[in-house]
Amino acid sequence: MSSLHHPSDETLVRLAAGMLVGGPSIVVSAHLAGCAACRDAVGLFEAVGGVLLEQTAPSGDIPDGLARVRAAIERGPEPATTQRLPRRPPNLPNDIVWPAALGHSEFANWRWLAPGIRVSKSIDGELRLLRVAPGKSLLRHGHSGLEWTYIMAGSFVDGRARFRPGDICEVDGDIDHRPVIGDEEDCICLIAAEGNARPHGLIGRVHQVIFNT
Amino acid sequence: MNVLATHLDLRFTRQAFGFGAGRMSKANDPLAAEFDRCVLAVAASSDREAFAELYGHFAPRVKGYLARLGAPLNLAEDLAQETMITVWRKAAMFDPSRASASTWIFTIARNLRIDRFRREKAADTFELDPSEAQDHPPGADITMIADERDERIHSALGSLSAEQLTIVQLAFFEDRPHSEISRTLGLPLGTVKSRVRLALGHLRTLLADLQ
Repeated sequence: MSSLHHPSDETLVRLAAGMLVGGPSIVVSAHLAGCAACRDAVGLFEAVGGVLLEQTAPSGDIPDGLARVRAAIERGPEPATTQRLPRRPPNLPNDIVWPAALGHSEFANWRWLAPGIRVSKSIDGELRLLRVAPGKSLLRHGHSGLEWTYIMAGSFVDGRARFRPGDICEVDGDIDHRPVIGDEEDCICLIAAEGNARPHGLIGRVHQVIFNT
Repeated sequence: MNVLATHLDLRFTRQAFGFGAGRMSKANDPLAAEFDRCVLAVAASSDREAFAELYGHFAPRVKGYLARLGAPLNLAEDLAQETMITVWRKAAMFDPSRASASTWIFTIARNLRIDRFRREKAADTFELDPSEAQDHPPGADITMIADERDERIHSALGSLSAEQLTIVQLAFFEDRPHSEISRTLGLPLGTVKSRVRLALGHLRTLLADLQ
């Protein structure tokens, strides 16, 4: 799965820096799992972080710091916390590759939003899975913040390009887009946003419902 | 998280990081290789002296780094301590061909900080863990690769313009960097995005052969 559309460098820097957290970091990480070029870029930006750490002026000593660290080490590790099993939403096509980045996320059942459009929210509210029937379109909408969409199945065209499985569609406040789903199959996407979508029409309002319910 | 911004301006960042007056080329810089060696010694033989050396160098820097991110003093100390405990416990996962000791420790501190926020939010998000399985057994020959990369990054940062260096740093230190870049550099918000793209593109061009 070789992607044509990647997160911006700025997004990759923020991920490396620990500044992209929550839903957006999961969506971008889903893309990274299949994109060696972006993994390399994040590795490079992490090394920039290492250099910035190295160049940070040391702050004052931590009182008894080393002794307290040694005592904690002597006490042994904390008991490992048990991990919950990831929960896929029901009725996903069998050939969908469930991103490892979603290992900690749990999703609710699909909800009907509009004809041909269903949504499943993650329990923590950070993520949305959107499933849209072939040929459907979402009305033009903009964003007050950044939004990342990772395509798991199907495709869509948003006036700029066609996005396919493995791709990331990153849009920000400057872009009004109107995704049109490809004819071949249902489009299943994983979406996270910073800020809220600004709808320009009915389905745009549906889009707002996706994020604000 | 924008507390840092108030402390950060162009002169401060240039001086704090001391570009230009910094370390020599990596081949002549025994420090990075020494820290790699220390982590490997902790992994191989639970070497307490090597760990003390790592602690002395990195604990105050991790604390300083987190303070620059706006963490209150007690939280910055707490996370710096946790970072060093993790260095001890996970030393066997350190792979010097993939990352220098400073990059590895940076990612540990970053992940602990994200974890802390996640627990505070009681939300459930993905943990980035770059320190998974090792592909290569560590050895002196490959140790140099990541250290040399760091040195190249150091000089690449030094050769950025003041504006571009600030943009890169704010991307690391700001939750929402655009408004801060706009304020710090006196740029209209509308042009910030393209300046960020240019700055990061320039950095990647300088480092293209490292990827």
